[in-house]
Amino acid sequence: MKKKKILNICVLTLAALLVAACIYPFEADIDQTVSSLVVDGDILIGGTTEVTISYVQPLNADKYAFVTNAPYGKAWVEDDQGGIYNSGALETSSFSINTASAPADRNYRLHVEDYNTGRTYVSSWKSVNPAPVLDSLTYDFDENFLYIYLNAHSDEGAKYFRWTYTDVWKYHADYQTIYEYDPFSDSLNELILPDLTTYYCWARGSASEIELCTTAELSTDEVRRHKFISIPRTSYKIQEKYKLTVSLRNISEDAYSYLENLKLTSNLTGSLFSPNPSEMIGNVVCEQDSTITAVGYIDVAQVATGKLTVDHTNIYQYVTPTRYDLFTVEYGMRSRYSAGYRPITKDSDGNILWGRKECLDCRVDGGTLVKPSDWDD
Amino acid sequence: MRRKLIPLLFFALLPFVKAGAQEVVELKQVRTDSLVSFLRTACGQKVYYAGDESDRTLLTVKAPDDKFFETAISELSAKGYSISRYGDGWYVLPGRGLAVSLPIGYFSDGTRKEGGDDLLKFVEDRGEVANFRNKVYEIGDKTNRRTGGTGNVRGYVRNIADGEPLSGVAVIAQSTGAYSLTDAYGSYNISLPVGENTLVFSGYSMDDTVVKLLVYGDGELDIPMSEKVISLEGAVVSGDRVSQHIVTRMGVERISPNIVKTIPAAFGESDILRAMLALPGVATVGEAASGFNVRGGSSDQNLILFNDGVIYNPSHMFGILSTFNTDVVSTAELYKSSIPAEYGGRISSVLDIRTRTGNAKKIKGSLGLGLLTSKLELEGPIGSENTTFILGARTTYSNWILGLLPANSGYAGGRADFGDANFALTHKFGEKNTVQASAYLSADQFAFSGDTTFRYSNASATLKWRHTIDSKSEMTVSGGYDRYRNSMDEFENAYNAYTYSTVISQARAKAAFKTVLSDAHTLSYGADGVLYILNPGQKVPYSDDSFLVPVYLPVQRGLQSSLYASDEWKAGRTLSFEAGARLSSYAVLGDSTAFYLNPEVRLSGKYSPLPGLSFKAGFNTMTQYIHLISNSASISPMDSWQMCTSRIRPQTGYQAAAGAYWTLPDGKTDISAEVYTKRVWNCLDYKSGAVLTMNPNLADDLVETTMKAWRAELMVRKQVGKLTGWISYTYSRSMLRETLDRGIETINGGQWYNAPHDKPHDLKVVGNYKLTHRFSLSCNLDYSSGRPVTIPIGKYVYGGGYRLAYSARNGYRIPDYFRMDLALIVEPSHYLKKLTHLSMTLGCYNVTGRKNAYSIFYTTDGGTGVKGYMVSVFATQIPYVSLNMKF
Repeated sequence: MKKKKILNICVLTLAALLVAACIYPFEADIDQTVSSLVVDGDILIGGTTEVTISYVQPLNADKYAFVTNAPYGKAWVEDDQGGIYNSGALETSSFSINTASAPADRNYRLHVEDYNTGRTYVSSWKSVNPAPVLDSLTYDFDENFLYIYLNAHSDEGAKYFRWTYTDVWKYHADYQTIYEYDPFSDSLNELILPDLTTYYCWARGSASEIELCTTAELSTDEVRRHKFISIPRTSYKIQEKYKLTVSLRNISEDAYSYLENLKLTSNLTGSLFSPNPSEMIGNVVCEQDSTITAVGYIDVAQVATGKLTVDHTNIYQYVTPTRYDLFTVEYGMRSRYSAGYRPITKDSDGNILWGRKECLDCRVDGGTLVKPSDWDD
Repeated sequence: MRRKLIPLLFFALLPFVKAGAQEVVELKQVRTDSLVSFLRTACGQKVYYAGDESDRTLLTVKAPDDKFFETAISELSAKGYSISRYGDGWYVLPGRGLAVSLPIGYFSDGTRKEGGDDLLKFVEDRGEVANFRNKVYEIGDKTNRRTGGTGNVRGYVRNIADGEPLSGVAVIAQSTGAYSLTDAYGSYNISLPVGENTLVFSGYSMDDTVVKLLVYGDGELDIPMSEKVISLEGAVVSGDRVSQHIVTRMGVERISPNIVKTIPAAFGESDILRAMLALPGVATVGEAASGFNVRGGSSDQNLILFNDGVIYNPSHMFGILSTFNTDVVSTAELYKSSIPAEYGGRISSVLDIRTRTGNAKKIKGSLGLGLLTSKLELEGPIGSENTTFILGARTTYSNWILGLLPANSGYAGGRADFGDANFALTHKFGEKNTVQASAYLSADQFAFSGDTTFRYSNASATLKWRHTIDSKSEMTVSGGYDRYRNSMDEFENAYNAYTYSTVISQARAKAAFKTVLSDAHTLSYGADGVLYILNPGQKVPYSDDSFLVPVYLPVQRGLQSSLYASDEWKAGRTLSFEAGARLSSYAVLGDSTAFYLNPEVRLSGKYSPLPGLSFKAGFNTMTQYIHLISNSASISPMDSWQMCTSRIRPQTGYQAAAGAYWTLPDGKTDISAEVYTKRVWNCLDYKSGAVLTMNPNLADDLVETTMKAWRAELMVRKQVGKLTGWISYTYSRSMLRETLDRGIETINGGQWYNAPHDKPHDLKVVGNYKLTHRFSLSCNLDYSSGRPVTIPIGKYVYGGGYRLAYSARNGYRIPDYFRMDLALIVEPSHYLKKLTHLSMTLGCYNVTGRKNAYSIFYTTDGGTGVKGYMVSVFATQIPYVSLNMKF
């Protein structure tokens, strides 16, 4: 997707096509600062409300800045009948609030206290958006990509949909080997079965983009074949098996326009006609000073979940691993071994090829050797 | 062969008599060239004559054989030729010529002697074409001799080569200092005192013409002017140096296509709008951006007229080229400060572009080949000289550029097409009536990657009747229809595929009158009306598979009507004023009604204490009843227009300006300084997250702002000599402030913030150096501050990924802009008899290859990390060649 956007710009500017590159990295000297509190997490009725608070960090700050400069305080949910739902945790920046038993016919709002500044923030009262129906998750593929689609509708006439997802996939290392080098005897052994201890891994991911869709302009309240994930067919995500869990909810129109603007202004294309970015104000306001707002829009919803498994091995397109050089070793196998090389495979002439031991280890790609508890094979 | 034939021909045709022993030779009523031929052959003298086609002087010489040569020479002198002797050659030149001294007997033996009855033509209503510069023309009824009083002289100024009217030619009475400028039809009207007068006709790139008049009363005189031999001599955009000091108005720029062609352009596509950007006070938000900004105004505040039709989007290919075919354009006038009362409806400026009427003598044409476009132009008379046409068409073959994209880019099927066509037919019914019908069409289409197609088009048609009421008054009545349409097909997902479109159309009528009241006062008055029909948006299913609910926003209708009057008052040789008033109104028609009435004033004054030194001041107020709804850096062709409603008020504003203009005593260099201040109310800006398309409650997402702008412009311009061009420097600011207080949502807390097109420093250098008559070098240099942008100043994690926190609106600037272009222009050879003439331009755009930022933007790549980028449109040197063939 990213590649397509950048190309789009080139086409729009057209003249740039005569030029090899039309987009260059850019860094501005920034002297303005902003340090607003960010409150992230909808109130999920019938489930667990996960709330995170943080501060806006300078543009060039590294990812540790979010840890070293994190707010701490508390968060709780209030309903319009006086009910309070507290989080167990105190003095942290992320809270799990049990709202599983919260009645769906009440209005709710979120309170957050920032101990650093001593300020308390409260979101506006919102009614519960009933759960939509997640009809199905489907997929298809073309020459290059696997696409995943959402099909859903609302029985309540709701028109604004937001979802998050987590995915987990099983994959393997670049190579499996049936050769084993024994450093004590300085000899190569051939195994009957390959050693698979570091061959299979499982990795997890989650949506980093805000996923939104609306049926406001359509004659139905049905979302049909909304494409939201594209995976290259050469991706290790679909080497073995890919599992997706989607958590879908309806949100209010206000929340939708807030999030859509956020999404838009965080993914500018720099095209000639991109709208000028500007920030919208959410619904979380400081109780001590109404001119101070927190970043974020807190809505209240029930969620519907759906799952999808892709394990058609014919979708994955094998690519010859090229990350590591393979070579024959005439002598000095021991020193190679201690330098981190292993016998990997045999070339067409029958020579044993060596390579970095990482090409036998799936963990270099960030996964773990531990099978998830809910993995079914 | 030819040389022998011609004298023979003359002898055969001319009545000449040889008599008796004392031979007396007589030549009766022969043309100068014939006489000179005769002198060469019969008298054996080396006589050279630099005559021109327009010279229709007839001479009669009668003298004895041995005295014939002397007599003929003195007769030639008497007729105003200058006779120079160099070596054994005699050079006969038209009076002004290269003579170092006045012709023999010029005063004593002047043209008003005997034989004058042949020479002096009695001019009455039927008019006269001035065909010889040193002839004396009598204007008015000779029998009705008066002493004192004035006579009105009017007529047309045309190019001798093709009969095209010449606009913007200064007509100056030497004795009184009275002046007139020819209008778009080449027409002038000047009031002169009864008696002897000398009129000087002076226009850029044309040879000055001096005509002596004996005025008895009202009369007509048409003047043919010829182009300077070296057409590059006056290579300047606008600003004929004479008109600089005679025009009361400030900030009028005149651009002619000859000049446009000498300014280096991207891809070598000479372009009026691009050339205009080289003028002080005219800016753009970025190269390859649609539209332009005049003196701190936004780009929807320019009224762009093409043969009286309003062009809503003057750009092809998202702004790389304008929609005007330079080959058919006669002149473009840009009013950036004093706007004549005749024009209204926009706040910042008026750009009035007119096509030529076409060659009245013969069918001619040209063919142009460039990197992006090819174009054809054809013109000529139909039947007689009274009916002429001009036709221009342009098309692109830019698809080859898209073809350079890699096949796997997903744009293999991408297409970009555009074209435009112009047609004008002019017919003269006698001397007093001219009717012109013109039509214009431009269209663009882009299709990318098989899921989105953009289209937009301008169309305009005008019928105009120009009538000379009497010697003092004339009238122009015109009517027409203009339309701009844009649409977008989005069909990635058949389930919600749609077509979105907007259309603005207008029917207009205008009547304009001009009366010369006296030698001091010229009154212009008139009325115009525009009926707008605006479809601000419709979104319909793209195909039957789409579940989209069709939405049609209500059509907006409105009637804009205006009355205006203005007086040009020449209060003396040094002082002149122009005072105008315009009463404009706008009525919202339909279900909800509203009515706006705005009186506007247009004032300007000029004081010229010395020749070549003028001071001017002006004050304008303007009203604009239409807004462009655009929240992107550059105007997008997909932007929609919005009429005033009961909730969206018209933009109103004023501009006050003052300037000093000095032409150095050498007459070659002009220095000018102008300052102005400007304020506009009810400019639109947008709330955060505003929805600008298909929004039935658009007014809720708009905010009204006040704009203030001020500026100082300095300019040095050299218009004569081998080196011509100008250097201009401008300091300007343009700022906005939200009018209402919306609490914490108020833009920038209710404080002034930079307008999106605010670029404080602006330096422009345009130069042309003539190497030979055929070869010249052009250089163009442009430096300006970067435009303001809103950029992220922080990041945070929200919804699982990084998001951006933005600065105050327009709180930062993109990097400064610098560009230099060079071009070598090769003019066609000067052999007149050649069938075709080929001109060529070789050039390089952005010679230094500087990567100028068009925009900067930040992305989180879907939340995974923050990166800043700069888009550069012409990020390297772009060499080009363009060919133009005339036939």
